[in-house]
Amino acid sequence: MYSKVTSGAVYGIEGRIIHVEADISDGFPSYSLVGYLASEVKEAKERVTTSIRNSGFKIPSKRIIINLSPANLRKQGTLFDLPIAISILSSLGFISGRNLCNFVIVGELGLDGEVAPVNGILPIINMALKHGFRACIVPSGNVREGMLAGDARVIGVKNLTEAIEYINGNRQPAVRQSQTIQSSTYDTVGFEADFDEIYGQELLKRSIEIAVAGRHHMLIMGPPGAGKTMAVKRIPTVMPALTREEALEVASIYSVKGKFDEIWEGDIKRPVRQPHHSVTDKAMAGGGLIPKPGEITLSHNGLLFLDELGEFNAQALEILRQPLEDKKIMISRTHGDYIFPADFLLVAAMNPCKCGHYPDKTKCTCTPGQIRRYLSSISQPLLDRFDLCTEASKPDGQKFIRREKGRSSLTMRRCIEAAVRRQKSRYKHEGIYFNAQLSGKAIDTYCMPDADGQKLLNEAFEKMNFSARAYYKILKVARTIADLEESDTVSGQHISEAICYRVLDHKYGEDL
Amino acid sequence: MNMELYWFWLCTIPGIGIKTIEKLLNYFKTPRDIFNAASERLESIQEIDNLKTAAILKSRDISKLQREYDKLIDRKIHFISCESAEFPQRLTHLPDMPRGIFYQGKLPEANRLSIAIIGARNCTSYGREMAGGFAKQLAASDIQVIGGLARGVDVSAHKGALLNGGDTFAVLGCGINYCYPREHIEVFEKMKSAGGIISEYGLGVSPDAWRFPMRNRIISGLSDGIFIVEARDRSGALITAHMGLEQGKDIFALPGRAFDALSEGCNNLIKAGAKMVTKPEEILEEYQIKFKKNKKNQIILDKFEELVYSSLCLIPKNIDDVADEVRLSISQVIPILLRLELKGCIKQAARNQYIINL
Repeated sequence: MYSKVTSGAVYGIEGRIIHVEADISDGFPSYSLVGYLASEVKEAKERVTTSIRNSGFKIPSKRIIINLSPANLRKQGTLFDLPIAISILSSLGFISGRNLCNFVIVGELGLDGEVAPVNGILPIINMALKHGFRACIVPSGNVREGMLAGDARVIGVKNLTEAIEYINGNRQPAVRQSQTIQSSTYDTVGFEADFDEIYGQELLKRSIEIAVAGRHHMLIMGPPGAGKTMAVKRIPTVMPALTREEALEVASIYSVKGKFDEIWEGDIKRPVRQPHHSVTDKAMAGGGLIPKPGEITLSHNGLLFLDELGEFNAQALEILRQPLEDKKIMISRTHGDYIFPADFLLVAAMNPCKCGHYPDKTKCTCTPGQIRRYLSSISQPLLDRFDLCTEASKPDGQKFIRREKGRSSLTMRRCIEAAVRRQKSRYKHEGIYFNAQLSGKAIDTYCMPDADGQKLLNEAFEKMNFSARAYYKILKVARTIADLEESDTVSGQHISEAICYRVLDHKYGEDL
Repeated sequence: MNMELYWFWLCTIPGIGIKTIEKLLNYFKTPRDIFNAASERLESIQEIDNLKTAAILKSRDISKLQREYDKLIDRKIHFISCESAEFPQRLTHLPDMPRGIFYQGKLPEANRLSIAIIGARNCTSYGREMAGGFAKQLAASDIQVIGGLARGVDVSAHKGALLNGGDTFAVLGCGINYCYPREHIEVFEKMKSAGGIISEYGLGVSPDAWRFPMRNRIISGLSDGIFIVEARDRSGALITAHMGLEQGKDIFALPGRAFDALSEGCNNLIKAGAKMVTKPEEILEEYQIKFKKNKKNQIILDKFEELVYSSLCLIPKNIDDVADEVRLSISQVIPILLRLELKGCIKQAARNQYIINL
């Protein structure tokens, strides 16, 4: 007898419908599983039969064929165990085929019939909704994740027997409160880190505020122990709350990667990724035969922090160039292209030289050549993608001892949220959200300084040898500063602050 | 073949240095005699080993020599021997004076005062600014500034002198056509028309480490006074200072903080009797030259600019510290700093680290 179960799988971060067909007929007893399967799917054969037997059903000695279609798509993962078991049981008549067509079923089986959680639930449920399915049977460990999808009826099952009962209608799922994402933020009270723990470093804090408000990528330079890492670790506390769309995107990505618990704290957190500097280009961009999201995608809608930028593998850094422009990364494989979103705030920190103490010549032991070499390990095209650059200096001893508290995360976040709102309403017809995304003509439209600012900018442009690129970046950053001060015009004050944070070029250390 | 060409030959034989030249000149009166000497005669000199004799014999090729000499003229490089009337008088007092020198541009004039400004390559911004500031003022008072085109203090002095259109001279430790280190090419080119490039080595001689102490004797030899800006204990700059002492030159030193390793050499020189100077005037008064006051310093600063300016010195200070010191917020201080920078009163020693501009 033939039966068909609907299941799903994840390709990239998109779900796809996969049908599991079983046919049990008379003939020489055999058992085969086909459909372009990876080895973990092939192994399902043994897992499934044992767990069916241990759940109290008997499999007769018959000819069993199972096919996963479409058969030209490579199947990976353990989520087909449950649908395979259901399809066999349905062919044997334990489950009614009529009910079966309403469900999308995924889950991994243990030998005892228990259902274990799997990766990628959220995109699969979203796909199911799109195809008109209203109910999904998922492992009970994945229910929380599945509920985020909204309209779907997500039924969590603990074991195979439970799944059969639900399908046959012998058991009604408990009414669960559908989980929706509220646009809440980090509660600063509950958060263990806060910007007011950083004594001094007002310049660094100010530039972080600007970076977050305008989504400007930022480079921090400074000696070891200046508090670069400490400050960056506190950036999440000042980032505005995720919108519902953003949160869903983030949840999908983490669901695929099987790291959902990392960003779930009663709500979706803004992701923060800090890959170690030994990270490979594949890990950064995403890789695998069927590519999995890499670091840049995991930091989508969040923060990507590269500490010790100078130590990173050059290839891993050059990978960043395309995503920083396009806000996504395309990974090509022979069987197709995968597009992952990658719209993140990039913050990088590095020492100004190998020993880390330049320009403090009383401590720096590097030769001018060494300093130049160290800095030139970052390519100019990558440097060009930073809008802000700040020098973090050793904390001022007095302020440190006095424990002089600076601005707190909460006050900073209030300003940032206001600035983000201003940008959003200003750019509602432009299809962008942040000042950093402005380009070409739009800069002239929105960032034009007043007469005073223009005069100052012209003078600085001539005397300080800016490039044209630097000129436009200064305008964009100045716009963000004006937004933070709730000013409609970009004034000389804003321009001069932006000039102060301008990005270094390879002329840095020229005077050695 | 004229005598200059013979001198040129003697000074450019590969493997033959100043010591061998002196030995040869002891045996033969003139370079022409050496050129024309029978090979047995040369080989019979005990003090000169066979390798060197072979090199001398091999290089005695008139047509090749003429070609090399023409190459110099093509490149506007001059060669003068110690017998030439133009040869700097100051160098003739050296016990191991170069027998010939190459130069581009011009040579330091004998009747104008020349001061060497030397110091550490890996100097602090204090050293860099002081060297530049002194050179600028000295150049304004018509003094020739001499240095070694090295990184750090030397090149800052050259740059400072060029700023005021003064004459500045670099003595190289490599061939006259090499700019070493090569990032100083801009200064190198400028000096050809405002001062000159001097070397005792001809075309294509590579910058080997051992040549640099040798050229120091020419730096000190060409100058009337030597000003050491920043030097570690037992550094190259101190070698020059000691050579200068032996040659009877005046030694000036810029004091530094007691614990600064980079000023240790200077401070020791002061203890040993070098004249401590903190202003260019103090060098000038030694030579009874009146200091020409720079009129450019007439920049009007407002109250806040004055306040911020007064909080800066030659030790780099970051924005946080400045803001803390003048009790203004970061966003108030930044525009003031930018205005001061655009007015040329201050500059950035490194990113966001400010010092006053001398």
